[in-house]
Amino acid sequence: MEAGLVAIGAGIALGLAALGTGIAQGNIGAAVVGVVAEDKKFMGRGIFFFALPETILIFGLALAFLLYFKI
Amino acid sequence: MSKANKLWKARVALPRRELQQTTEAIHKLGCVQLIDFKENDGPFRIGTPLRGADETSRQLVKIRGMLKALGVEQAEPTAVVSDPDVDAWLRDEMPSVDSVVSAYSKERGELESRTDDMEGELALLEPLEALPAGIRFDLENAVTLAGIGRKNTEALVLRELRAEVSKAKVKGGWAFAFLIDKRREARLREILTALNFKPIEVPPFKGALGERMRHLRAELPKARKRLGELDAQAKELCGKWSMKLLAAEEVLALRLEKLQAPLRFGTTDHFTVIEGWVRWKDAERVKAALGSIPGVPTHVEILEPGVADEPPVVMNTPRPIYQFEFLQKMYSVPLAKEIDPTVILAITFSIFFGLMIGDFGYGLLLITLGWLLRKRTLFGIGGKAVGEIIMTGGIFATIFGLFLFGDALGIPFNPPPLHPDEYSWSGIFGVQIPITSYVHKLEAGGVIHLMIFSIFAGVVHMGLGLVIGAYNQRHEAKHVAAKAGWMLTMIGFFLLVMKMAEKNDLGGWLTGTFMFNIQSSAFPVFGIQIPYLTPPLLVIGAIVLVITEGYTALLEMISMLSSIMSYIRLAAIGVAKAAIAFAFNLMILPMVLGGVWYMVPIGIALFAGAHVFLLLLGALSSGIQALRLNYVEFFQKFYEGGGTAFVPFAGSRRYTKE
Repeated sequence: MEAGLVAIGAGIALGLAALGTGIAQGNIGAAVVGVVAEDKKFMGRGIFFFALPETILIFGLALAFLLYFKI
Repeated sequence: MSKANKLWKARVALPRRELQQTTEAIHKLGCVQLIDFKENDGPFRIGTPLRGADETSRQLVKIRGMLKALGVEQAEPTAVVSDPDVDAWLRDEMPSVDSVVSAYSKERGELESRTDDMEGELALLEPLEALPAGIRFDLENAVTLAGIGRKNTEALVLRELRAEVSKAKVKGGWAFAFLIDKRREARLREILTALNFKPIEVPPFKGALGERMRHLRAELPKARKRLGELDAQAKELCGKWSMKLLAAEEVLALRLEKLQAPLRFGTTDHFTVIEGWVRWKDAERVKAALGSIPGVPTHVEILEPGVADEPPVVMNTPRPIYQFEFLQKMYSVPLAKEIDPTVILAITFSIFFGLMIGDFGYGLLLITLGWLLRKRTLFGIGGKAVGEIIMTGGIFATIFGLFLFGDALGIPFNPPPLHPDEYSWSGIFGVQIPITSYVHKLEAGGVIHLMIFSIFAGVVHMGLGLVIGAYNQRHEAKHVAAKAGWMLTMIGFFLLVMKMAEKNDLGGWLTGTFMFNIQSSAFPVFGIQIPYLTPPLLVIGAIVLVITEGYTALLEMISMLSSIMSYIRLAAIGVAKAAIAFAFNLMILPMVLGGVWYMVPIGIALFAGAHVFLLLLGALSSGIQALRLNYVEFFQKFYEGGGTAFVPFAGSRRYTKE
């Protein structure tokens, strides 16, 4: 029972963090595509901005690890 | 920045008439970056271009126009020609080439616009095709309005106006053509607008609708065919002249740069003053070369940069990691007064990248991939910088894969002790491979080890950033104190995080070795163990930050904790990649090793495809994340940037030689 709840908790932590990252990356990605269409030179910076919200996902993943491996 | 690379200001004064030779000499030296003269109240004005600049510029525009018209792209030179050859070509052959190319480009332009017009018109008329072919739009006293509407449109129009109506059932409604007296056109349009019926604005043409459509359908293929012929012609012209044109463009551009250089000099009626940045080690050479031009009385002086000057920066990156300047410049060029962090960026980027990939097989493949990208042999993509950066990262990935993780292509050399029946290279080949995996990425212990290591690496990384920041601003005690405040905050949070990891063997070892177990005594708050040292560190840090940076710094303190946590991505990306590789292997390896002979080639193909996919995905995400840790977490602790790179006044030649 407890193990199951922990697994669900880890899943929710990771899933919701991924959802948040997805929303953020969706918006940024759309903007980046627009900018790159104007000028290809912004590709590098664009990818970089696109990767910024991934921190949120990392937090989710870290939490999931902490829960799942019972640290 | 070493003293030899420090930039000094060279000032050259000479009679205005003798500019040509001196400009040539500076260009040839190739170690002076010209400073643009700015007009002020003094006696100097902006200079005028040397004689011949207009003609050269005209020729250059013409050549560039031809390059664009023919769609010539930069390519490997097939033969290197000399300046006199280019001049001879420009004089003897260029006019005839020009007339051929302009005739081609004129015909092409006209044909393209005509084709577009015809295509547009055909697309407009096609919906009306079902109507009687005899409908005309060019009547003198009457007007035809045609378009797609609903079935009752006709009745609603005829209720008020008398018009001759042609109609036909088409897909999605009815096609109508209303023929009406010119004086009533406005009223008809009003009614149609009210009915939401948009008449198609047909471009003017003579004759009946059916005739026009037949004409368009006959003409369009002819025009398209001619366009295809022109494409072939362009290709032929390109093959014949592209090298000549590229060489001419190169020579003319270099020449024009020199001829127009006086626009960057300050001039009176008789004298010109040239200013430029020069490296200390080149200063004597510049002085000697410019001072000894026969017949030109020149005065050269080398001055230390003034307070208001913002000299450009020589990014003096050591040769083996020279290509990492590319990543540094992508963010920003450092200022002359601050430490150039390219070396640290190169080292940490490679370590982080290698750690996230952390696989012997992928490491070797990345070295190969980097090699191919460096030489642009893979579909012509890549470049020197990207290739060498990936190669360096690949070397670290190989080392980590061999000595830390002990795996290749997601398969460990020896099975993890907790799962002895998993696939391993030893098991597959039936021999004991003497490589130990110290960290198994897919076991709880390994993941925790990686996370602890990531956080530890992050604190070292950011600590280094704070130290550099304090050094950069060593002349202002307040800023140095602020960096110390951040350092205390970081250590406070770090102890808090490490407290959780204390029970782990690696965590215990790290805290015991590097932190003398000072955090081991703690008190619980809501079940979280808080080390006794954390609150005082955070409080002192907060006080220092409020004094030095103001109250807003308090809000930013928590961002230090999130910065520390942010380094967990090193572990996360590595584990995620290993998990996908594990899943692929679990599905595919049974095909290869299952003993059914016809499944073996399919399995090997799938295995190769899956790992190539994973390699590219992993390299991309590891590269971005390793870069991000440097750009965001590291650089924000100290880096100002916004400098300009040192670009000497010189030309590089590819298609020509002097």
